[in-house]
Order: sequence, then C-alpha cells, then structure tokens
Amino acid sequence: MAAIFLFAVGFPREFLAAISHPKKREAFPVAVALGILLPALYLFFVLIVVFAWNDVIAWMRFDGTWDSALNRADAWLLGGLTVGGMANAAMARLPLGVFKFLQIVYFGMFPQLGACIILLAFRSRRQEAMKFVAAIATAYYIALALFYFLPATGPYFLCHSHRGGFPPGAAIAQQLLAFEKRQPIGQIGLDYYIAFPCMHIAQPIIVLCFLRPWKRIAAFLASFDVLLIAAILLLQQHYIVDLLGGVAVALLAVSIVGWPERRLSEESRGRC
Amino acid sequence: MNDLVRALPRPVPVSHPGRRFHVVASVILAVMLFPALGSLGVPWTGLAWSVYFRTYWLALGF
Repeated sequence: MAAIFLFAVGFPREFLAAISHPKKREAFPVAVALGILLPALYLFFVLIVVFAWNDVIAWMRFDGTWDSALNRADAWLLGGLTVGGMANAAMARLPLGVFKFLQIVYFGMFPQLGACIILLAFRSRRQEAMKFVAAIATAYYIALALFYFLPATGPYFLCHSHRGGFPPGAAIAQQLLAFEKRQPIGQIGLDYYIAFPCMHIAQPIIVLCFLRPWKRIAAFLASFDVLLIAAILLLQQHYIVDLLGGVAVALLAVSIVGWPERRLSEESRGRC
Repeated sequence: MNDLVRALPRPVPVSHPGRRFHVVASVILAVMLFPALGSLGVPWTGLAWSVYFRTYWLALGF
C-alpha cells in the first residue's frame, strides 16, 4: 500500500494512466518478486535477531542511570530545556487528539521500509533492495553495540505525569524495572528499548539516501520525516542526542555498505 | 546531452571493505543468540510465533 502511495506521489501521470488503462495480463515478474521477497526475508531475520538481543542487553545492562545522563546532555544542548519538559508543557496545552495523530505518524515510519524495498526492486531488481536492507541491518547492529555501552531507553522512562495513556511506554518501563530486578524473561516480545541512537530517524534517513533519485518521493518523505521528528519528541520516545546519534549512525551504515546508485534507469529518467 | 548520458556506462559496483560487515554480524549474533537467551532462562520457544508474524508485519509495513 505504502509503495503504491509513494508511486502515486512520485509519478502521478503514470499512476493515473495505469489505473485508467490497465495493461493486458503480462507474465509474472519473477525477478522483481524475488527482488522483494529475499531482502524482505533478510530484514525479517535481522529484526528478530535485534529484538531478541535488545532484550538480552537490557536485561544485562539496564539500570536507568544512562537515561538521567542523556537527559542532562539534552539540557546542556538546549540551554536547560529537556524533551520531557517540553513534551509535558505541550501535553498540558494541546488536545489529546494531537498526540493520537502523532502516534499514527510515529508508526508511519515502518511502511517506508517495505515501500523502499518494493520501489528499489522495481528499479534495479535485487541488488539495490538488498543493499538497502544491508544498510538497515548495519545500522541496527551498530545500535545494539552502542546500547550495550549506553543502556538508556528514552524520556518516557523519566516521565511521571501521564495523560490518557501518553506518553506511551508505561508497559515497557515496567518491563525494564523487572529487568533491573533480574527477573527471568519468559518470552521475547516486540518491546524495543534502545534510545541511543534513534533508529526511528536513522531508518528514514537510509530510505531517503536510497530513494533520492526520485525527487518528488524524496521530498514527500523528507516532509513526513519533519513531522516524524515532532512525533518522536512529543511522544517522549527519544532524547535530542539520540536524534543526532541516529543521523550519524544512518550515514555511517550507508557509507559502510556503499552509497546507493545515483543514476536512474532509462524508463524513470525525466519523469520525476 | 541525453545521448551523452545514455552513452555513459552503468556504474560498476565498488567493493567496500565493510560491505560484508552485516553478514558477519548477522551470523555471529544469530549463533550467539540461543546460548545468550538460555543463560537468561528464556526457553527457545520464548521466541514466540506471534513475535515472528508481528515482526514480519513490521518488516514489510503492511
């Protein structure tokens, strides 16, 4: 769905032509299907490994002290202000619906990954899609290593004033407190604890690096990412230093796997 | 100009020293995962099927 939406944004004329005059049945594009499926399966494997190690490292290392340290780093950067302080002030003034909308924006990051794999597979088959997933995997592994040394989870952990279930993360904070008491883990879930670096901004930056030849799509995603930063901060999911770390990790990961091809295929040149 | 651009060869993939980093890291982390989970008292079934499916949903963003 996200890929179709981005295609419509990037190539409105072609999209309208495709839905107005559907082509006759063509042979199943096996190469493109494999170009989507194999990178998606590898990303699936990477996420399972990351979710599991994220629990293991949190259980071994988390004690809450690094959250206070990152909060102090933010206060130093922002001249005394903190993400928690600003978000709580916003929560006191803005209606709850704004935060519900921001939560939708926050989870709107994930479809970008699937859409990017699909668009890259259509553009250059498996090579670029696999390179994109390799960059995501590299960024996640760097994040896991950093989480071992800086086990912090986000401003929501320090927040004591909640309203209507916001900021989200109360259940995760409970889980982390259980880890601190070294209670056994029964099951690996989808709880994600890593604050530094902010992978919620690192991944969209990697997406932008790979989709930049399609200027309209890149511009649309960049605008969405500005909203995403507001969502990350107002939902108290990350510190400012996490965002800076996320940008650095994204650029490092892309440079490790190699910068994506800039040259467009013959079909797509001139359309965007 | 367009002819000139078309005449340019497609870029040859450049070998980056660290481009296989993710493969090595994936293998090491996957192999070490089950002993690590075991040492924390998580049974291998602790990686529940629901997590697999929900992760797949996240991976593709559907």
